[in-house]
This record gives sequence, structure tokens and C-alpha cells, in this order.
Amino acid sequence: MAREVEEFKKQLLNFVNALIAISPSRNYITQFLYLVRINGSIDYRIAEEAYPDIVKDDYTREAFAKIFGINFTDKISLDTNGYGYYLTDFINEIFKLFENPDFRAKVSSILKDEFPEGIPNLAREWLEVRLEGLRSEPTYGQNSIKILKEIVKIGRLKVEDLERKLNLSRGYILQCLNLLELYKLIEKDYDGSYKPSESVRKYQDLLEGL
Amino acid sequence: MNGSSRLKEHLTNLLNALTNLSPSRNLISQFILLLPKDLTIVEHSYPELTTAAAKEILQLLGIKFGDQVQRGKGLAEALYQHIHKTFDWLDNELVYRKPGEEVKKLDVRSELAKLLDTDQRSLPNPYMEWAKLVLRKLSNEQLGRKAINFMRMLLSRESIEIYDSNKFNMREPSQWDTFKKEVTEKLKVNPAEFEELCRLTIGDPKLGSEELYYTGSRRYMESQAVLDHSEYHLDFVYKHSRYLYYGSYYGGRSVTVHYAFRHKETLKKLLEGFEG
Repeated sequence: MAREVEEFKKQLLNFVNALIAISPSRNYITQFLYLVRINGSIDYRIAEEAYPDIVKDDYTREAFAKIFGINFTDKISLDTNGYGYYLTDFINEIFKLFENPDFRAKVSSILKDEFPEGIPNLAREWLEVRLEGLRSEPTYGQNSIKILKEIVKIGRLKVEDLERKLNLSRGYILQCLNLLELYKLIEKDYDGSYKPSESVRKYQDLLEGL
Repeated sequence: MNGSSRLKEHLTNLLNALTNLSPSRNLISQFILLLPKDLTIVEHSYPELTTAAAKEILQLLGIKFGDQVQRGKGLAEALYQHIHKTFDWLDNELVYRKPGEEVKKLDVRSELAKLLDTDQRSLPNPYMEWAKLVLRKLSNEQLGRKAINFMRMLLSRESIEIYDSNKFNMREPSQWDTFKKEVTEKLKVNPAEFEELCRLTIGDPKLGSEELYYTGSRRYMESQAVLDHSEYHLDFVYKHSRYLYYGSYYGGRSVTVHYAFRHKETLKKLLEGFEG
């Protein structure tokens, strides 16, 4: 029995490590694909700035288009029968699995030497990466974080409310909101107000550290 | 680190992770791919996966343990789908079709090799790895050796017509009938063995089907390719139906159905190394 237990541990470690390595929080390529997927499409100009290694170079861009089934026009999107689309479907399931506290607890107890701090919650980690990406945006980053904190504090806010509260111009606030929507940190409601996305609501504590 | 080397590093990491999830490299993935199975078979073939702790984890992945062990919804089902897509993707078999364009398969391997500045042969090929394992297993079994020869006979053809609605009343043997006769004589198999060879290679409808693609529209379908998964998921035979309409949709249509092949070059190359 001991041999079986050891063998399972070895297989589980390889399995978990592979799933972690695919996560958009750990891989630049899946991060790009997943961001395109969750937005449906993203502006070419924005992607060029955020992912220059993939988008700027003609040769790399064309190779990526074929390999992952990506459409590069003024908007960037994934073909529904391309590998990038299938891969992002799979990533959704990886997030769900690693968000399950039972799964994390059970795997962490078997792999306690390999993961002394427990296996990561990849969905939470993905939010951390998005918040970090937002914060490091030179022009709108800092104020976008401020706006996000304000929206989380109140629950939902309109552009006019933000103008009043933060004393920033409407145009500037709209740019920040675009950025927050791109990273899926906020959602626009039917009445035009903005509310925090589900993952921000779930892991609000991450905002406190910013 | 410049942009290009960062990209190469991340692309290599991604390919490694995807390959490590393939059934030839990981027992959990292999198990998920080959379900459903009887519990007694699972306990005998995968003792590592039937300890109490292993079962708890596998259940959280979506596997259901009963008299039959099955894949349920959750990561297990998603991984099952994903393994097939990755098999096809890294063996240049992923069918890609944009609206209004022809069905095509992209040469993913050469694009990846160019990006990584490496030889195509050094890129992982999870399908080839898996097929090698399956063929090795089959070559040690009595019917397995016949299966290897059966695969050779299938793959030596471009396609095999199995049905033509225009010839339905002509009592003429189809290409499939002729092929069946040839197999029976050459490999000395009885009808039950022939059925088993088909289940091992052509497909077992109990394991589920997958539409690879269709052309035309759903209403006026011009052609359709459907795959029945086979016992070990080598999945290299699919049914290709071609429809011809008489005037309008309501005028009726004729249909011809062929067995067609994929992963052909990979399997032919691998089969050279196996005795039948």
C-alpha cells in the first residue's frame, strides 16, 4: 500500500504543477489569451501596449494567429474553433477547481512538503495579477485603484458620483473605468452604474494591501 | 531578459505543462481519458488511484465511483475534452474553419518550431507518445497484433465507402463489405473478432461521438465529419458524409458515407516499428 500511496503522490504533484503552470497568473501567453477571451475582444492598440512581445512583431503575431486561432484586426478575438478558445475553456475549469477549499485542503495535506504554504488559489492569484497590472499602468493605474476602492466601498456608483467624490475629470474617470472593465474588475449595470466584479467582491481583502 | 526570450520561455513552459497533462505522462490524465470502467477493473489496473486519499481527490475532480467508475462534470470532463484537442493540436490535426472559408488543418508544429527556433522533431507530440504506448500494449496481446495489422490495412487506403443512398437497392457490395471480406481472410478473424477490432480502432458508440466539422449550413449541410471515440482514443477513423440536394431542400437529398482517416502520417510511421 505504501508504494501505491507514494506513486499517487508523485502523479498528483506532476498533475497539480502542470495545472498551476497553465494558469494566466503564471504564464504570459495564457494571460494574453484569457484576457482576450473574458472580454470577447480587446482593442488592438491596448493589446499592443500591454503585450508587445506578442502583438508588435509581425512575424510573432502571424504565428500566434495560426497556432492559437487568434483574429488580429482593429479588435483582437479568439476563433471559437481555435486552440486558444479551447484552452481558455479549460482554464475556467482550472480556476473552479483551485477555488474549491476542499480540493486545496486535501491536496495540500498530501503535498505538504512540496507546498508548505498550501497549494495556491489560482482564481485569487489571477485577481492579484490583474490588480498589480492595473496599479503599474503609468497614466491611469493609481487613480483606477482609487476608483475601484470607492466602488467596492459603496457597492455601486455612477460616473457622476465618482466625479463628485474624487474630484477628477469625467474623461479621465471614463478612461480609468475602461481599464477596470478590461481587467474585469468592475461590471457596468443596466442603469449605467458600475459595481465590483464577482472576483473582487469575493477577494476584497486584496484591495486593502494596495 | 528581452521580449523574445521571455516569450520563448513562456511558450516552452506552456508546452511542457500541456504535455505533462497528457495520458502518456500522467496516470491521473490516463485514467480520466479511459473512463468509464468497471470498479473491479479499476482496482486491478490502477491500484494507486483507488486508495482512500486518491479517491477523495479524484471525486473532487469530478470522478464518480460506483460499480462503474465514470467521469462527471468538472475538471475531469474538461480535461477529457482538452486532451483530445491537445492531441490534435500538436499533431497538426486540429480542424480549423472560419465562416465562409474551407475546412483546413493548420501546420501548428512548424509555426511553433519557428517561434522557438528549434527543430519540429524536438517539439512534444502527446498523440504520438500515447499512440506508441497503446501500440506497445496491443502488440503484446493476441487480438492486439491483429489490431495492428487491421490498422495497417485501414491506413493503406485513402478512404472506404460504407454507404451510398444511390446504390441502396443495387445489392452491390460496398467498399466496406469488400474490405471486411479481405480482413476476414487475411487476418483470419471471426465476426466477433472483427467487431472487437472495429471497437478498438474505428470507434465504440458507447464512448460518445464528436462532430469534427460540417460544411454548408445546418439546414443545407454539404458534408459532415463525425468521430466515434475508440477504446484507447487513438480516434483516427471518422465518418465523412457528403450530401447532394435535388433542387431545393424539400426535393430530397442523396448521401454517401465514407470512413476517412486522420493522424495518418504519425500512425503509419509508428506502425513501421511494430510487428503484426
